[in-house]
Amino acid sequence: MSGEFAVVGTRIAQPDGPAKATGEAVFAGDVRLPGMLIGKVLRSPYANALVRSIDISGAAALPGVVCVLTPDDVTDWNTFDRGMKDMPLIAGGYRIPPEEAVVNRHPRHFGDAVAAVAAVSEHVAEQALALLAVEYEQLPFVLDPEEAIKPGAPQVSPEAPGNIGKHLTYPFPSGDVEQALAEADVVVEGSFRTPKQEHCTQETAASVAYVDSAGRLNVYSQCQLAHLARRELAHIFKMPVHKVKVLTPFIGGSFGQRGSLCAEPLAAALALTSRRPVRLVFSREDHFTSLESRTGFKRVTVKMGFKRDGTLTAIKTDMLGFLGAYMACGPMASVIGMSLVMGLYRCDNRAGEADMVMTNTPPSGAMRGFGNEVMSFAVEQLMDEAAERLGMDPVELRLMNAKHQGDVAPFGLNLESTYLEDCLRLGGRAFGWRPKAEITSAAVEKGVAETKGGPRVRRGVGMCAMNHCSGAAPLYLEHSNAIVKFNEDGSVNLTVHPAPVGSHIWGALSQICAEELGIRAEDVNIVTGDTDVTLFEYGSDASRSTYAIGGATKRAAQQAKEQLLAFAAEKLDAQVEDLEIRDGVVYVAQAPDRSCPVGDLCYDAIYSFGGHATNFAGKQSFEPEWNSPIYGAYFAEVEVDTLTGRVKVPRFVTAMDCGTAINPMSVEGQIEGGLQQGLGYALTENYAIDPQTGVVQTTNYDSYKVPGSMDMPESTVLIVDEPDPKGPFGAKGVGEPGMVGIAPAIANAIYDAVGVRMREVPITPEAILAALADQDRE
Amino acid sequence: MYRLLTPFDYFEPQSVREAVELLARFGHRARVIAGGTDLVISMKKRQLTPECLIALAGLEELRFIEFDPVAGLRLGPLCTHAEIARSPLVREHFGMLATACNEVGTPQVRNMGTIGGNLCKAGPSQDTPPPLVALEAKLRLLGPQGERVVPLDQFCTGPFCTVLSSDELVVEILIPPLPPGGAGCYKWFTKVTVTDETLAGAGVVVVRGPGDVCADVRIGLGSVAPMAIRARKAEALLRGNRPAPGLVWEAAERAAQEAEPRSRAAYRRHLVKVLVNEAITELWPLTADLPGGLG
Repeated sequence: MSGEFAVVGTRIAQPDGPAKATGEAVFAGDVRLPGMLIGKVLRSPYANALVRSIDISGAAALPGVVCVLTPDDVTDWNTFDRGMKDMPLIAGGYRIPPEEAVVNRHPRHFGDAVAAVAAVSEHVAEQALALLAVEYEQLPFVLDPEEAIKPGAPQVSPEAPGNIGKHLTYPFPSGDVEQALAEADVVVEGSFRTPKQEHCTQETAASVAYVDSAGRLNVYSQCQLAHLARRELAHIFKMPVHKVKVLTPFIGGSFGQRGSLCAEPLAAALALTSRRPVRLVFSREDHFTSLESRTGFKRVTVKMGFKRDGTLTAIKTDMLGFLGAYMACGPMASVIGMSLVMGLYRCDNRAGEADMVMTNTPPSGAMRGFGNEVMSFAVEQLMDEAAERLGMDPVELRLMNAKHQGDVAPFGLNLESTYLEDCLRLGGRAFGWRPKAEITSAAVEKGVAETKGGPRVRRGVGMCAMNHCSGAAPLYLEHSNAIVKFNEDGSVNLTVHPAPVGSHIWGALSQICAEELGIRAEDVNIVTGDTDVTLFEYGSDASRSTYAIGGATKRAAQQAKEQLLAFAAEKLDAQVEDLEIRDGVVYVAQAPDRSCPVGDLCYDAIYSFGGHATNFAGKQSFEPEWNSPIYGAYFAEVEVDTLTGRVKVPRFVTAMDCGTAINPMSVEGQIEGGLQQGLGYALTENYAIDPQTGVVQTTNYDSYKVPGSMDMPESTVLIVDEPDPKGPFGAKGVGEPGMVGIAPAIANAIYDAVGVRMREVPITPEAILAALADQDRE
Repeated sequence: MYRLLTPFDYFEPQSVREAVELLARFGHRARVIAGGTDLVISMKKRQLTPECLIALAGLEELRFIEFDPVAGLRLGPLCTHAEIARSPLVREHFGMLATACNEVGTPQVRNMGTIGGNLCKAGPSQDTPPPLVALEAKLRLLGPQGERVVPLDQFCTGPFCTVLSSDELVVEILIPPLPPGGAGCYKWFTKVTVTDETLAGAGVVVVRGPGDVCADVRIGLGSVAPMAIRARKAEALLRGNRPAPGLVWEAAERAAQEAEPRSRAAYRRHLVKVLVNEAITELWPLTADLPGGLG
């Protein structure tokens, strides 16, 4: 497909690559300002407590300590919702109560901030923290969502009676689920459990803030949603929005975590109080104990009904999620997950609900997949189970129920492009997928020692299907802006504000801009990272940057191009309709001798003495009212050691219908990164909280295990390169989907290998052995 | 929580003798630093806050690998795990030690961390002690009062505790040669990921004697007790007998009972059983017609 494009579809090097490779790129923690102080945060050692008093005399007397912030010092400021997302259009436009203070008198979870210091060095700041004498009154706490909703349980928040943070229903219900289940020929059901997962960003959260001589608060922020961060910081500190300037440096990973405010409010508060620049860099321990991690679910119960021929007739879900001590972004994980997974297949009867429960644990929030991975883990295993009971191949069952163009898309819109069938067929072919009976007989080949009449190591294969969104229309605000300005040499400046979190977004936007203008991608300069300069941008989340900011970019480029061509038409004595731009030159169709370089036209327009001086520039606001779902198929091969329970994943194939791949290299990178993150979710990452105390036990990588390169399977990524009618040059979003289908595909492969259904992630060796022992007893 | 290092004095002695003198002078206020891979972490976590560090890195006299058919292998404590893992001498005569050294940490840790430092740390879940106790390694210690030689299984007295006094240095690790008909291997299982810490490790030596019986067997277990231990009851079951599959399995189960793991205890015991069974089952055929030992 990309053959028709000059720039889109090519594997360009990233414009920000050299700066990152040489170390020139500035990340938040690299920022150094004259007179800058170092901030540090004191965190509660208890799951629920009241700060009775804080004696700051020792800390304040320590030479080099400039400022100490206690709960008494922040009462003039507003409390806030770190998730900043009080605008979902579904569920009656619900609002998240702004319950959090910069530092809290009532810390509600282990790791909640209770005080902060700013000092001349990290050493002094650390010593100052140690000198803060806090008197706590410990309060009863509740950690488990099932306990939390029982009568008489300790109340986590006054905003959540009975600890129900939000009760949410599936926004697109249809039919009569109970009747359809009663009438179904085959009903499969299961209860699943998924944990919190930490984002494990390469760079930890960091912010530098200072108040300039004009009284403006300047904040270096890693927030994915810079303009929302500006609005929220202005709200917290009771300043007009124009008095806050948010600067976006390079960001060392986010995966959804920087969709919320992290270090910014504390850094800004210390800067406002000390009147000095303050740098605050969170430790890895700060991450695990105070930032949002993936929303966990204590229980996800799913029931699905099928006709004898395999037609899916009903799907019903019930979710119990844990939000932690602040609601933030967590509740929406249920709605997004239900919407995406229940919208994956044709099904007439759908209903679902979720109780999102508050507990005295660090908050939950958005992470790559945002609920889709949870529901996929449940539903795609049940699809597998249904296929077995129906005597069908799992791929065939999914093909049979797949949605087609013209069906209703997961978020209730018209589905304009889906190539799930191509994903299933191409992926299956590359993987060597065969009906189960054949695979099982061929799989019995590897094994060190014979046990229980079979090989010790059993091989299995599994697969699953997936769809995800390109942005979150119509559930969330969708509003992007771009400015395209021609320079006098024919290059352009593209002013946009995506979050440079490592997803190659600068490259993708420069390719979209260059393609539209007929120039080279390297002639597009990205101007970004300053809310004074950029127009409003909702930001980079929900796999929307290429799709939505790319859409704004294409439209702004088109507008600038129209101005250029009108000027060129006059100069070349031709009709605008007859002009085209290739390789930076404007040509007249059928008259190749009549042409003019774009640079000459721009120069003439700018350095004009004829009264027609102009600088070609386009500015477009874009509010996508649609969302083109991306489709994918995942195929996993596993080896299960029946003696130790260890699962290895030697091979993985992912086929993705991502629309036009703007840069196939970036698409492959996203999908392989997703595979690694999904592998951790499926097998290794186990966020642990002491059930007796509420203390977070996994606070660094010695106890929290992310898979490394040695754990990675041999991976094949297939791109189904078919253009979407809505996305810029046919592109869809591809940031999140990579991780979504990993756990269900692996779980299905484990079943194929050893015949046990794993209903909980991470799938540990002990859990496998326990399941095998249960199987023996049966 | 990892924090900035607190200030300390730093000494670089030019000889072992000078190092011992410095140790005698500073005693408990000092710490010896070799590769620093463990010590620096402990200091960043404030588990240790030494006033001074005595750096051994420059002492070439503590960096050697020598083999003699009678005396066996002599290892300098400053040898890094990577140096031992790739040493032709170690690989030829004590492959199980090379295997274990190659399993320590990550490439960076193996290139910096030393075997002496690893043994002196005496952590419960280290990879080098299980094969070394199975090989009946000894340590030569030097202090102001002179030298003494301590068998490795008497060197550790508990988790992170050794008989080394604050003014002593480990100056040599001695591994006696395997008897004829002897073979050994190291088997391990990591906690979660491939490059993770070891959840259970077993260094096993089997010696085939006349009559095709197990003349000797030594089973060193790591990560499943406060320190590396010998599974002597399991060894006794096998010694003098033919290691038929049933008996090997029984011995493996006995070894599992001898383990005293704390966390994930049932699973670690189970792994001991699997690893010991696997090791002996693999080793026995290798010992047939062996001219000399094969570690």
